[in-house]
Amino acid sequence: MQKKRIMPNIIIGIAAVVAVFPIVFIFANSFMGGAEIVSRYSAEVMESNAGDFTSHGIHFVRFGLLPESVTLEQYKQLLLESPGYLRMFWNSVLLVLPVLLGQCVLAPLAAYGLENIQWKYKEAIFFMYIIVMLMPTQILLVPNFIVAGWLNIRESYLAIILPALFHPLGVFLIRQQLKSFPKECMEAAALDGAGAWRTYWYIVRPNLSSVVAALVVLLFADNWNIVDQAVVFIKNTYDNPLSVYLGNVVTGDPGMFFAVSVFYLIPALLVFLLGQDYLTEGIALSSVKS
Amino acid sequence: MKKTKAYWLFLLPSLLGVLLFYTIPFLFSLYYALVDNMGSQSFVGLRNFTDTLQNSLFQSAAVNTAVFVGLSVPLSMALSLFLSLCLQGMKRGRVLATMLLLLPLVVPSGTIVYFWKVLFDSNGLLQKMLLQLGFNHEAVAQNGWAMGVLVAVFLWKNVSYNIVLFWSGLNWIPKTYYEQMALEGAGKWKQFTNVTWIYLSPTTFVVLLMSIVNSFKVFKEVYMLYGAYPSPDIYMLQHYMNNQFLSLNMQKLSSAAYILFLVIGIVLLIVFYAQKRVTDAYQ
Repeated sequence: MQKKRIMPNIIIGIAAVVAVFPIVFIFANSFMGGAEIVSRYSAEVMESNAGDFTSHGIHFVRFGLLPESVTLEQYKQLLLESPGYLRMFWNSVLLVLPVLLGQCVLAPLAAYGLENIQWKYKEAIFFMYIIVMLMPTQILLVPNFIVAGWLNIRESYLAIILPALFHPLGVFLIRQQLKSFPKECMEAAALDGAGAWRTYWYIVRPNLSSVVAALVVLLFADNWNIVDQAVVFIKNTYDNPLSVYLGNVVTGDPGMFFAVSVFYLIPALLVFLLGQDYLTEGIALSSVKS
Repeated sequence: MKKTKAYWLFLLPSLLGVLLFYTIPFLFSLYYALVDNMGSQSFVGLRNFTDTLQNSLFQSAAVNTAVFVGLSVPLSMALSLFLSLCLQGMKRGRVLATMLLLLPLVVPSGTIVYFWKVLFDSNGLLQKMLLQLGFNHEAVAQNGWAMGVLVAVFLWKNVSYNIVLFWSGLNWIPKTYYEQMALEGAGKWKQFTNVTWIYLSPTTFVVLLMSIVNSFKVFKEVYMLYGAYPSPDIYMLQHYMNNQFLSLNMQKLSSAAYILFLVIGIVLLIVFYAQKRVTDAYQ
């Protein structure tokens, strides 16, 4: 009996370590000097790593969490001498912020409207939202690409921001939440003479803060990790968000990778810590299908 | 009547956006898929579709994508079901455990890419360990496990999404059912097959649906690990599509998009109806 109780804890413990270890690795390695990173992980045999395991002229990684000498050199270089990285970090901010703000305004309004509209075919509209929501990015990029051509914004961030602003996820989540909202409250407000807008603003909106928080976490996780759209629309390397460029850093500037990574990870971790409860709620909401 | 008209104004901004940025241009792209090129624009029927289906690059991309989905979806579902059951069995520390398990979900794929390379590259830790165990260099260096690496990397990031789904499904099952079974002397396994598995099945279909949808997100990982031109055994439909964007070939692009749309649409509809039937059966 005692054994049965301990097993789940052990298994979850192992799973949690697997989940967290790569992040710990990135943090720990960010305090290594650039030269040490290269000598540890490069495939090339060089003077500094000649003592390590090699086979057929290939140097194999010397895996480690603890730097031989702890240094903040990489961070200093990143923050003071690498305008390129800072600029691409800023690009990410420019791509994410308008989407978050826009969704937080548009999605609750639309969900509220859709929930209250009396029209035979309104579920068809919702069905369309769901279809768009479920399709992979590569399919959605085709219409996005065509509109961007019509509006002549293919060279601009708007080509990425505008479709993301209208992505149906927000409307879907908030409508799921609204379905459990007591109808009597809205009707009572209407009886008191409140119009659709006043009912929304004073009765419905204040009750949506937790689902909107959930939406923010989900959207941030997705858009801070933007890759697909940027690959299609962004031509100039330095216009890329850092989420895409990190792939080039591994090969082009490996010594800087871990510091840049941590720098990019921190906003994601902050949003996660602030919105963790809401994240669970948001995922669970997204599953209420029929 | 007038009252409900006001509600349309709330919906309108979002509806116009969805129509303008998704629905209308997607319908319009069907036209591109049916003409020969952007210059003369004369109709060629389904030729673009048959060309795409016969394109060897498209075929291998479709096979790779199917293999990836076929591996990652069942693995992810089994693993997350198992872990959510373990979570349920925990007496303490569940909140902290859930938080740690969810962490990878918000980690941008690119920030962790060097870790995977250190682990799995041709000079990585895994290969090093295999060599030290005495496997010979040629067998280890064969690059046949790129797909396995992708599945592992994908599971690491996305499994917790399914854990949350299963977890919330598990909490819907009344505790009294288990107590009843325990009174009748049923063991853990019997309780699982007779209560959990049955009452969880609506959730299971939702997880299946979301897993299929989410499995296409693996492109982020592939792109960060291997760039725009990975080795042929992990060249996915997403790469195929991206390369058509770069060459601005609207005919190939639109026809491929429609083929993919139809296939995914049919798969999702099947799952959706199966879920509806199972849900109705238990309510």
